[in-house]
Amino acid sequence: MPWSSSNPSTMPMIGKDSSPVNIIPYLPDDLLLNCLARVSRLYYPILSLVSKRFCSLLTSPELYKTRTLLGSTESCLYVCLQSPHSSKPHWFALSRGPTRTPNPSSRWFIPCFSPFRIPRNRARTSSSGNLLVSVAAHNFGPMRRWISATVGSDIYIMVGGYTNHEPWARVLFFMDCRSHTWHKSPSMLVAKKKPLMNVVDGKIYVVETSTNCDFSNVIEVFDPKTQIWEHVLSPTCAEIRGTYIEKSFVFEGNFYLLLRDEFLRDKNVVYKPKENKWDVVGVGFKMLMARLFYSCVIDNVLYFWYPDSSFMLKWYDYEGGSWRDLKGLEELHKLPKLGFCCVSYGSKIVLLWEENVSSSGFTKKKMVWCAEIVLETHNGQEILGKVMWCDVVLTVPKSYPLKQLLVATI
Amino acid sequence: MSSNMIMLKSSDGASFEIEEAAARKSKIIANMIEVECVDEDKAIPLQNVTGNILALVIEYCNKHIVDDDDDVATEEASEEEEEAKKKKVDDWEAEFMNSMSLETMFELLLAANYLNIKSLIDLVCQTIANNIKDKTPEEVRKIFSIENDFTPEEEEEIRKENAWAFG
Repeated sequence: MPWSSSNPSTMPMIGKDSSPVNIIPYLPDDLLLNCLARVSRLYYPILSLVSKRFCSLLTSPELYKTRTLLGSTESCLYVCLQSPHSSKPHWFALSRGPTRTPNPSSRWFIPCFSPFRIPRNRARTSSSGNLLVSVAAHNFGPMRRWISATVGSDIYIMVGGYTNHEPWARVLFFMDCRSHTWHKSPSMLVAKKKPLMNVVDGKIYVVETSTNCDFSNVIEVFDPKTQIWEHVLSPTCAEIRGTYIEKSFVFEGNFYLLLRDEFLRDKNVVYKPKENKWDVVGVGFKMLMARLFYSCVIDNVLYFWYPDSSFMLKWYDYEGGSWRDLKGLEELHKLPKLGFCCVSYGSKIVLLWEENVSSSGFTKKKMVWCAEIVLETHNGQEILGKVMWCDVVLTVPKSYPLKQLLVATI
Repeated sequence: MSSNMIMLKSSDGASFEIEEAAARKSKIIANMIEVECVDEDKAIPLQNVTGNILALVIEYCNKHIVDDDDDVATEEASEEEEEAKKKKVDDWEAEFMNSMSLETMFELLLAANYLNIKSLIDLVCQTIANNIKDKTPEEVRKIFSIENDFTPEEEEEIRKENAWAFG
């Protein structure tokens, strides 16, 4: 303590702003959590390197409680790549990368935000700072036939398949994206061979598709809150006789089954959970197309990325009854790409695609590109896309196929 | 208005006069007023808050009590007016936070926590949060004035867990 002739009891402990004394007071856990919970999860891998205390707070259940209380939950992007050499898939989360030159001239230091531009030389460095960071892998079953869905902060995986005609998909595996740990759901009522999975209103609907026109007990629903499986009322409409289930999807809170009969004619039914009833619907051809390719639904508008070279996102104009181009993405058009997908990311769209890297090494590589698109509605009828950032987020051996692109809310 | 004024006394002996309505921003002081342990002639001693920090707390409370009064008076204010007013408050808060050192800011947060002024806790925490993103671990350590307590091996382990390259 500095020597002072003044009475210690009246001497302020804290120097004035101009004082050279600089002792940052210690924040108790609840206040530090309050600060950390307001920071985007993109930064958590970097912040966990600050100290042991930061590291443990950033994985604590209290942090996620605080995020929920403050309403600062956000969309987090997860990508799964399959190794060709093992059954073990690799999971990645979008995060901020660690490389940046510090600038100590400011008291807070200068943040590294820079206006969006597509890197001209297409170098492997990321100008937005966003990268795919690996997270805990799971160690269950062969991953040939698996499906996935997210509910809140959990990513659910179901592995279909059978041995000697006996189906063995009885449980859902799920990753808690807050802690990146894997868990198992209770057993479902009927084991599945070739399941489909969709989420309606926080509940997981699992449909067996290998039932040869038998629709009894074909659908089960799992409520993650109660951890209970229940049968869903089976569709009984006369129109579905002799059909098989080809695909399922969710739109406007209803659960659709796309059916086909032996003459390849489409029949479609919809289950309305609120009314607990089935109806026959004529889902338009274009919507069907959209469901078969790459699409996502944001604010009940359907966006659709047709896998051709034009790189155009389209959206379905219900009033006009037609597909329209999403304008504003022209700068993305000239980028080379193959194999891509899109997903709704909160009220935004994330696009992911790959580009082969010409390399002289033994292992051929590919770059995974990612772009975040903000949607703006003009005059209630025109939708414009704006590229927030677009970068190479991962470079991997070419032989690693992209399995999944999922968004959890954490 | 003098009947609505109360006195606060900081840990280092400084006294401040403040409108009761502003002081009620602090749940602790509001409670004291409710249970009538506030003697009109005596100042409320706040043992965990120094004078320079208490002055900032009072500046914040005074500013926000005016805003709250405005809310009541202009219930029928148009959306634009509401927005303009909100922007004014936001600008004031940004300037308020900008005017103090990091050290003062952390002291202010502890004081807001002690006095239980939720909106001020939110404001300071949000300011800190906005300023620790996009920082290197070393920069964050400087802001919080903390040491790196990882051994090089432990740090390497965490870096490996969060492998920024395909492993």
